[in-house]
Amino acid sequence: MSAFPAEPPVGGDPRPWDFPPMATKTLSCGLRVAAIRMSALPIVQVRWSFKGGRRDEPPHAIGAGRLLQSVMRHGTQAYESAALAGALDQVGARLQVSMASDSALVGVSAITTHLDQALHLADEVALRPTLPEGAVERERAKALEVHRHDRMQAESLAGAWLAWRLYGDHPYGRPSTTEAGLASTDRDLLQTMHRSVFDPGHALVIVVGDVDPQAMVAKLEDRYQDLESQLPGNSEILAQDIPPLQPSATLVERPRSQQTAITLGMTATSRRHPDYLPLRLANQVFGGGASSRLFMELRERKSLTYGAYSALDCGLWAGDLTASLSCAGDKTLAAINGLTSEVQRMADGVLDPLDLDHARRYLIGAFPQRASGVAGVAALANAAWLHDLPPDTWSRYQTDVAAVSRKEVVDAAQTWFRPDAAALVVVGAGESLDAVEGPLRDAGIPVERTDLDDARFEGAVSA
Amino acid sequence: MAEIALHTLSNGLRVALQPDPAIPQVGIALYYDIGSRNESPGTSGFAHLFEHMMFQGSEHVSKGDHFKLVYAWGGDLNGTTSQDRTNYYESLPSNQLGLGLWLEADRMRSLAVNEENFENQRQTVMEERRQRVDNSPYGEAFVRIGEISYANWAYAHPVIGSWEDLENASFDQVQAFHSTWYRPDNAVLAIAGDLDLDEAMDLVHSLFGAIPSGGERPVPDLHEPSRTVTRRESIVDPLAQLPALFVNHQAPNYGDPDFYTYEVIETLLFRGPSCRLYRRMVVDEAIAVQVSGGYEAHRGPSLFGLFGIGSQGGDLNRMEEVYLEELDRLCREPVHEDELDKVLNQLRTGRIFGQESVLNRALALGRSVLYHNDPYWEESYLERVARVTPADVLQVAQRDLQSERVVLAVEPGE
Repeated sequence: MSAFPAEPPVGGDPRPWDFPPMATKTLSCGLRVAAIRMSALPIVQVRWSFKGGRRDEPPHAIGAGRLLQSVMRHGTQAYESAALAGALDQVGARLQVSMASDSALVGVSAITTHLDQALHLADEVALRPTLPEGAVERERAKALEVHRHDRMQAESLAGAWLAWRLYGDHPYGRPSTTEAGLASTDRDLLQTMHRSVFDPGHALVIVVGDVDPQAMVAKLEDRYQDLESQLPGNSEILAQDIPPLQPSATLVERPRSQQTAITLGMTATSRRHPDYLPLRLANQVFGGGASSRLFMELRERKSLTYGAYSALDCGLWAGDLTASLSCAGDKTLAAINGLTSEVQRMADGVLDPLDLDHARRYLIGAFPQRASGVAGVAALANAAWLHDLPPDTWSRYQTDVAAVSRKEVVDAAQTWFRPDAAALVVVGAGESLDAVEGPLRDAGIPVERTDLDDARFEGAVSA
Repeated sequence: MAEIALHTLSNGLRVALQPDPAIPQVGIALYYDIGSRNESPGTSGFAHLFEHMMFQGSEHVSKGDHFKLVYAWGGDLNGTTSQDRTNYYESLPSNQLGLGLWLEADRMRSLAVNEENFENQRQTVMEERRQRVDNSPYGEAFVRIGEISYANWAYAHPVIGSWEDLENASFDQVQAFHSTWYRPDNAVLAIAGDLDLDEAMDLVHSLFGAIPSGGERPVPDLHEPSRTVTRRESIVDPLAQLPALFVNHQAPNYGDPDFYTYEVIETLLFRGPSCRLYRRMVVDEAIAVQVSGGYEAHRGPSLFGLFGIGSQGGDLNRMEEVYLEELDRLCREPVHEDELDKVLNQLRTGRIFGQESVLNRALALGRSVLYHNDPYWEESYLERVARVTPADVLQVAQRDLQSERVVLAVEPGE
């Protein structure tokens, strides 16, 4: 028997892989229809996507989007609530209704033999929900309870404060719900919001799965050719100002906390910005995974946390780069110092070529996995449409990542990692905050100490 | 059925392979037959703490490099510990199958860790416990419901372990634990995805074939007495905003012929927007904001239960009443064929969508072999569940779901 090899076996060349091609057509009402074949399994996903979302909530009705996505599940013109639930489950279909700041979606996943029913149910929920009064009241009560629950949770509270520190009163800075916003949302408002967001004039319908793309597009065209848009001529909402990034430390006292939740953030690029891919690579080096600096330094070397990660989230107008962790109260100062020193390293342009090589290979190698399911492919196609990316964005993605230079990554890191202006939010027990308040002030960071009753991040209307 | 190959190496390692060339990826799952049920009082949490140690270094892989090597190829990895087993898994581009197998083989044959690594991971696990249990609403309640649902300590104690036992865990136990439990004859290796059967088996032989098998291993006592009285407890959770209710009945284990009937009952009651409990508790009566639960099947004593989060000021007695009424309905009324068809469609969709990921396939394959010694167990699931009749549901519900139970009420407060 030969000795165990000291090095792993050398792999051959990766098997070529291409993002599956998409057939597409734009109808006269503005609706884009598309189809992608993935025939490995007898399944499909039908997905309606809309260029509108929580940004369309009136400022006094924060939470209307959350409420709308819940109430839409409770009945359509063809099905009352229980009948809709039964129609979905009878064919084993799964319904997804969700709303983000910039987009909304209704998706139905099913086995291919139920494709027609999936199309029908997706249309019903997306375009013809009845938004019954009883469901509005019931879902409002539930949403209020979830809201109160979330307001007590350290991580979600830290996230809500951070969004507000980064974006101020811009829609990206809003929490998903407020008590006042939920209370002031009525059925009329939901109907108005539904009409403006779920309009075919700024929508994409895509079918991904075991289908013939050309035939599917023809079928969709036939199905939707009579739809009309009620949108005004230009439905694009103008970009609102995002305040300049200011350094801040917000310390929120949460009594009886067994851990401190720490999050730090900086505003970053929109998805279409030329720095997007270089910054994506920088984020991967910084905290994008379990081999990244945050995890290795703060967990594996310093035993400060169970996990420390960063995320780059890029919207239509702007993005943000955030890093988060939770730790025992007595480790709070060490964790903040560890986190900020890693931000500083990125800002200083410290970038080992090996780390960059690993990050690059990760993004390239992981891409087929992202596109391995019908939902993943539909999400990628949707993102390209939403952000108006070139049609070959995903087929070029691996090549484009490979082409990003080290200098571009360093430049992007030095531009967007801004320790001098980062917003820090710390939620924990009073004694944990006491231990960090002085050192943060000594470092010249404006510190604000507050508590669970302070909800300024909910905006002026409901404060 | 999909093609599956099953081999047993001379050292006892069982290897299951399922080719699928749809995308150039492979999933690797390595199951060890060691879970928290194998722990003894005073050592709770050690199986899980040891799982962390498996990422701390082996003869040819330094601490942290397991993550780096897998991520550097766009892969993903992790490990999990349950009462019944510990598993490790990787997903990788298919040309890196050798890397994944080499990493797993190296740490099966040689663990190279030190006291400093051990202390680092003890602290990490303590943070994990704080995050999942101590600082989480209902976290303590999930520990408590386990403790009172089983008389047998093997399943009653939490996988994450007690604070006292984590503090007392010793580095001296690590190597002995590895040489007792992390042996090829106590493991199942499953690989699914874009692979050539012969090439994959050659790799497995060359990397795992010389690892020595182990000796005798203690067998856990899985005896669980039948519950003869209903037990009730309540606790106050300062982190919870809403009241919650747990109700558990004893249920048969994974290998029981009634497993599939329980899968049907779980779906009838808990799965999808039309399921019976969601419609009654959340929609019709609005006494709960969330209901979950179902069949908690283990290789040993198992449970069927409800976890419901009540509405503000909600009446937990009413929640229990409704739950028991729905169980009683299962005992009285045969399930209509239409509803049974619906359940089968739900289970079918879930199973087929689950096959999209080659890693999921590898995990299911490994579980099939470890738990059932049958590589086709997962593949035959839908066929078996389709044989469940309304009479089966009646009979199982009458036998098991009218029996004594455990009830835990959670009230928010100081």
